[in-house]
Amino acid sequence: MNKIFLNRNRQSLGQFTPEEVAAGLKSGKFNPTDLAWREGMEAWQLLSSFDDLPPVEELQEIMPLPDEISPVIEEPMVPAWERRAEIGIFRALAQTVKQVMGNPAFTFANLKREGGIWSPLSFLLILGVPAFIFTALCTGLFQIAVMPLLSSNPIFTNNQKLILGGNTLKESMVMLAWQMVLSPVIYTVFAFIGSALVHSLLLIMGGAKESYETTFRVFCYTVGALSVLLFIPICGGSIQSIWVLVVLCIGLKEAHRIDTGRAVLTVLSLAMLCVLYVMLSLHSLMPQ
Amino acid sequence: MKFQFRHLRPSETDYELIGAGVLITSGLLLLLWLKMALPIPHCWFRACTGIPCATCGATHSLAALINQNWISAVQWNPLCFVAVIAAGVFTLYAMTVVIFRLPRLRITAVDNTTALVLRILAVAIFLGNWIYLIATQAHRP
Repeated sequence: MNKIFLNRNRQSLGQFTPEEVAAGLKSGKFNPTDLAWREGMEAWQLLSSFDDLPPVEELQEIMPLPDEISPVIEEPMVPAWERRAEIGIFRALAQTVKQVMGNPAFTFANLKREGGIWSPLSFLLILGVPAFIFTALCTGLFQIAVMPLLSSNPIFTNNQKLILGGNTLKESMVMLAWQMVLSPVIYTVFAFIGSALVHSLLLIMGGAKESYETTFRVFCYTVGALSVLLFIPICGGSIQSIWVLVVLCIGLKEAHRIDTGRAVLTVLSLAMLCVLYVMLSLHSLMPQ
Repeated sequence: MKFQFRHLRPSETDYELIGAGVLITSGLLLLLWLKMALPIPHCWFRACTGIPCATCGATHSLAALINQNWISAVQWNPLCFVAVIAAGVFTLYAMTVVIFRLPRLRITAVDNTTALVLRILAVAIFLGNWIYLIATQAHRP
């Protein structure tokens, strides 16, 4: 039988079998007023309304229901992007960004573990590609502005001149144009390789409790939703990098049902490896 | 707005561990970047317009902080200085509660008025810092 997802005060309590839930209700671990959801349900409902659990009268003897709580609370299934056919693409996009950025623990605790790869990939491409193109255009604008100044302006160090002036302006513009045209392909490859790296590290850390598909789904929804931060000029990239790390830790922890330490170790190891690779590559370009 | 101290529930997300991990890793990588004298991205906004952006001076402020030059750190970018100090205080708190398994500070309820006041305050601080940077750093190299 499907497991039941439980939620209290917008914090996930995890997922349990009906027997575990019934035992938890009797012991007082769970409340009849906790929100519950399982596969196939349209919306979250009060735990007390579940048919295959002890009847409400018995539960109310243990813990009476407060009068002011309505019997059914409308809580959209998360992420909203999975319901785009029902609620519309733009609303689904906005709601998913809000869910991932605002309440990642709730969102990823209730994410379908094996709901296919097209939904999360399309979400990543729709938000990520425009953000990537915007960033590329800003880089191009910067290069157009500074290239003529490189040789004469003392504010640029020799290292900066080397990094920025490695190519001519024309070569840089051609490279940028290619990046923009190929951005959907770049983002697709990035999604598969990035989530494969995360999943490999999860396997090494003993934290891969679910399939690669689950990791892929968490990765795409996280990076896709936080791509909107790249539209903030200047500091958007830095904010996005830090926030992605935090949300990815929460997402992996909730989706794979592992302890926070293991999720943090996985995500931060990967981040350190990537940044160290970039640093060493830059270092090798610099004159010794 | 209500605050409470409580222990983590079983299987609850440990936000302190995540926050401390991300901040410590980012800080170490940033220090290594500065130590290796790798190029620091130049501000394209300033390069194009001649006006400092809202984050201009952040790297200088950080470098001054590392050298314990507090006054200079504030002068380069006051908001960056406050943010770094706040991050340091949070990391200390987070490491303490994680290591000694102490109760965690949680905000239990934020009413709409408080949330609105906090948002307006955040925007005002951000804009105030930017105006200060434009007034003091427009002619700095």
